[in-house]
Amino acid sequence: MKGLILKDLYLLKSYGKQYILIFGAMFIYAMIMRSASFAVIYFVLMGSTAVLSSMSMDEAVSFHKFALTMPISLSTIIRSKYILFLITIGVGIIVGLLIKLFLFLVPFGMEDSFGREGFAATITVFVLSNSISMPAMFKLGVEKARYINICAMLAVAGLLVLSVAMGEKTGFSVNKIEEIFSANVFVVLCTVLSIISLAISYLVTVKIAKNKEW
Amino acid sequence: MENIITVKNLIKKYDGFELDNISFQIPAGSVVGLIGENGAGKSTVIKSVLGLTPIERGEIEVLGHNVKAGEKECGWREQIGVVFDECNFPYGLKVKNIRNIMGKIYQTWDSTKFTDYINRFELPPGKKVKDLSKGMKMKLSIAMALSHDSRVLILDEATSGLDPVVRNEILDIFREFIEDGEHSVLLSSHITSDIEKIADYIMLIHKGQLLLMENKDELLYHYAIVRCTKEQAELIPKDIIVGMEKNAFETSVLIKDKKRLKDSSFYKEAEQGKENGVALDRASIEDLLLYNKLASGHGLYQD
Repeated sequence: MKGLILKDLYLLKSYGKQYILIFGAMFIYAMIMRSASFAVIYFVLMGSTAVLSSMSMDEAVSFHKFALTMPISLSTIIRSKYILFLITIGVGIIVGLLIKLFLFLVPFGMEDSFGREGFAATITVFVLSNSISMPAMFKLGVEKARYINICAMLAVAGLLVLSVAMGEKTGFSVNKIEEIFSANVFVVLCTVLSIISLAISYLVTVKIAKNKEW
Repeated sequence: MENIITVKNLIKKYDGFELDNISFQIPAGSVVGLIGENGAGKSTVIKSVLGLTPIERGEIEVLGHNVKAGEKECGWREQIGVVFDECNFPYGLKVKNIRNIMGKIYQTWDSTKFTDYINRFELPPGKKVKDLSKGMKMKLSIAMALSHDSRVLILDEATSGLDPVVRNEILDIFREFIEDGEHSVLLSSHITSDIEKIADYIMLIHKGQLLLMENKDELLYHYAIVRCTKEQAELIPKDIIVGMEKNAFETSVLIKDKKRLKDSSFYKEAEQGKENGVALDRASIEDLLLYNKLASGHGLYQD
């Protein structure tokens, strides 16, 4: 497991310069747009999709077939990708939080409407979309999984927007929800939902990959 | 002699292709050459042995372990080294990264041995895999396969696409590997010259069927090619004919028992005709492959 994660980190490091350039460009873009929320969402998104990039590099050389000739079980290979996802989205979250902190300390006059709830909801959307795309990654390959990831992200975000709109109409508005659930409870709910979705996704991936031809 | 790999009655089906009841054993201290044309089933045999594909029926034992696809138990793989026809290291990795990664994967990883191999193969440690030539990538894969406690090397078309100098160098390493009599090599290739140089046993697979598994020296000693006329070819005992090729000028027949041909009345009867003389040539491994293919095309297997 350690070896596989080390390999993924080396690979991501090998693209370090590109990542730094993209981060820099997006940070400048966020400053021009005067939107801290954009920067935060973007960095979490980058973190959440890094696993797809790592998987794509593996797939290009049939690394998993090769890894299965080593003393590594299939479930370890799959687990390593989920752990990598947690690491990279974690880095994305930390970078996002640092940017928020930076913008809070340095007065650029940027919009920052992102509270804890918004941040937690954004992370949950990315976790849910990856929970859907990761089994697809092992079953259908990375390219199709990328489309599925984007579709899942739009679907989850769309569902969220739709629920808010429906809630407003039926008198169950966001304000009312905020009255019932405190921000902390909302964050906890998002975290629980994320953990459950990742656990289910992992089990589905193991089941799917078991009968795969390598 | 201890068997490193034992396969019994292996059946694996794909759409339009089937590995048909394959059984073989690979003894310790030997190099087994698996030959067959493209699509014959060589890679499927190797994937089955490694547990990379679920099989319909059969038993596969590697170093005493009963292999099953998708199994959780994977410690037995500590003792096998595998090289496929392409380099399977992601291109963004550096040669030196592989040393650190494998050190975390194999309990028996020997970094010093790996360093010795990369020095011997002149692989620059700081270079990325994508910047290595095909031969260098293959050497890197072989260095990795040899730098842990592997008792058996399984190579699937690992020498294809390499120039003769590199291939020769790699074959030398395989010879060193089996020297102590406890290690084995299963080498699949359609480059028959490599197999002829190094193999102790030949396994010939054709359309999913194992046509033969024999000691190479005995095979080459007993097999021969008879070059004669169409009429003379008719006089060869049918049960020793493996395959036949006819053209306007001569008929070439691959036979599997030189001695029986000499003991038979073939020469006497053939010389009675007024045709040209009969020539008996040494058969190569390539001839085995070609004539077996011809034989299947001409229905010579239908006894």
